[in-house]
Amino acid sequence: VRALLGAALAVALPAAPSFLLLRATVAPLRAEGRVPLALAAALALPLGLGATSLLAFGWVVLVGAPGSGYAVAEAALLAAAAWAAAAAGARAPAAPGGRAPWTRGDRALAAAIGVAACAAAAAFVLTSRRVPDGDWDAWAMWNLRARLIARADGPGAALAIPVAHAHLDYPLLLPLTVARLWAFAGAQAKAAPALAALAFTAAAVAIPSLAAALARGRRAGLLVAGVLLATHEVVSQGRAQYADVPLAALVAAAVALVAIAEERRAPAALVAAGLAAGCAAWTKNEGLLLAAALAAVLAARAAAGRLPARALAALAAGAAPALLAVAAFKVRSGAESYLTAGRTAGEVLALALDPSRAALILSSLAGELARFGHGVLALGAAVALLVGRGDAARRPAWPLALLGVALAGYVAVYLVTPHDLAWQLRTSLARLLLQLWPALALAVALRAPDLSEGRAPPPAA
Amino acid sequence: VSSPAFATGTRRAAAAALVAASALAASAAGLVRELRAWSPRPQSDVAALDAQVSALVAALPAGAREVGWWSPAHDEARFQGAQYGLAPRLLRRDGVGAAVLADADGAAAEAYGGQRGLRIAASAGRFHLLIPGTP
Repeated sequence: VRALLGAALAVALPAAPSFLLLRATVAPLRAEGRVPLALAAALALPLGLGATSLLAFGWVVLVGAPGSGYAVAEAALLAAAAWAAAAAGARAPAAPGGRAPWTRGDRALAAAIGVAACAAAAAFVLTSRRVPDGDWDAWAMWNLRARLIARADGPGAALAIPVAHAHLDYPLLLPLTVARLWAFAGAQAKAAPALAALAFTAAAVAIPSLAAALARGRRAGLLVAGVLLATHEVVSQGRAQYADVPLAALVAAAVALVAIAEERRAPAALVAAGLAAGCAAWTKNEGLLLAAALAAVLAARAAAGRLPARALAALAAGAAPALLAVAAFKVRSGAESYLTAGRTAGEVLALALDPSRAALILSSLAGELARFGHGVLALGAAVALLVGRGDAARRPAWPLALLGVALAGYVAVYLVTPHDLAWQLRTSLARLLLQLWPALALAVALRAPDLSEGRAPPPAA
Repeated sequence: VSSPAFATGTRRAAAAALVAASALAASAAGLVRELRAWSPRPQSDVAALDAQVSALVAALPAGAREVGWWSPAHDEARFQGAQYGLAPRLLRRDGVGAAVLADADGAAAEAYGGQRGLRIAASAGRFHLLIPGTP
């Protein structure tokens, strides 16, 4: 129990200053009741864990394994950050506003979503007790790397690892998070990786749901939550202790924060969006692709005059710490990606131009899209058709463009992979779709009309 | 009844009903599946096997850097979990690296072991670590 409480403290502690900072950005207005505060809390979970994984990385490089000394130092730093954030937040403006009334339909839908969420949480906990070490990649890579970090001898030791099967080029947000939780727990408790997985899974559902509720009303948020809870992979992959659901949560956070920055004229949210995108790159190599895609899509918007150039600077400032950590890690570990190791340009080009590979990828993608979540994409499409489209002025296309670019990038990687293509598609395609799914649900919700009845108009710019 | 507002309300109510039913069905199915699979003993226990291996590692001769192990007595999940759980412990002790030389059917373990100059043997429920240069 002590270890579990310590691990829980390691999740909650970084969320506190993150919440206080995000509250000032996301929730300066009281118009939507508790939704902005709940969204700030949901965003604070993955962003807090991501930011502290950067601190832990610095400790691993300079000192060694994060143990009790690290836990004490981090707790002191976070307490100071929370105090400063609380002081800054107290000066943030707070404007009054009317709250949308709860309709009978809202209440019924919320009750159903609440029951579904409780059942999903119970299944998560039961499975985590039955299979406490997670699934294959959790043993093979993520928790292995966490153990390597937690047991490292001296500065940088955890980065020079001769266990070649562990995808040594994969970035470290998740292993460092588990190692942090172990440091606070005082032991390598098996509850720690499960607790981290639960936090990221909850965030992957809550962030897009609450962001949709903030942007398009309570009913929209409940619909997004319901669609995500209807996707069995959210729980099954989340409790597997893989990095795909953490990545999904961070991508959804980045999209939500950019949307907030745009719709509410809250430029500070772009710094947080940059942090989310940078942390996505610090989670998996696919996150690098997603961060680059976000930068490209927003740069295109800036070039078209739809976004001020300083918005890109804010995004870059937020992403910089995590991207620097990625660069330092890649240089220091010296591990090369399987995509590039020992390959010539000619080999890569030959694979890229092989039409049979493209056909296999597209047919696998079509099949996986149909199977994903037992047909949940059809459910999402049906719901989108039933609720209709919002006004053209409030129907952003950039989130869909971002996810389209990311999916195209995934297809390109499949084209040139040196592994057996059929095997790689079979073992990874569903997880790649899951990485984009919460953000896609939010992207579709942002194109819907405001679904709240009797809600006060959105705040003036 | 034929007003646009009524039609919009009906469509939105249908969307809500569809989503509520789908979320409840998926979550309930997941919970029922898990309740059926429930067992009081965890199906994997890296920590326990890691402790066993730690004891073996403590008995390794000085300078030993690579070990292999294989246990046919464990199901694949426990087997794989322990395989990857032991590697960091060996790394910490030896500073350089551990060989992880195992596979579910044992044949791959032999093959990997052969590549690394190790011999591996196993019998039900017991580990045999055959260190090069030692009896």
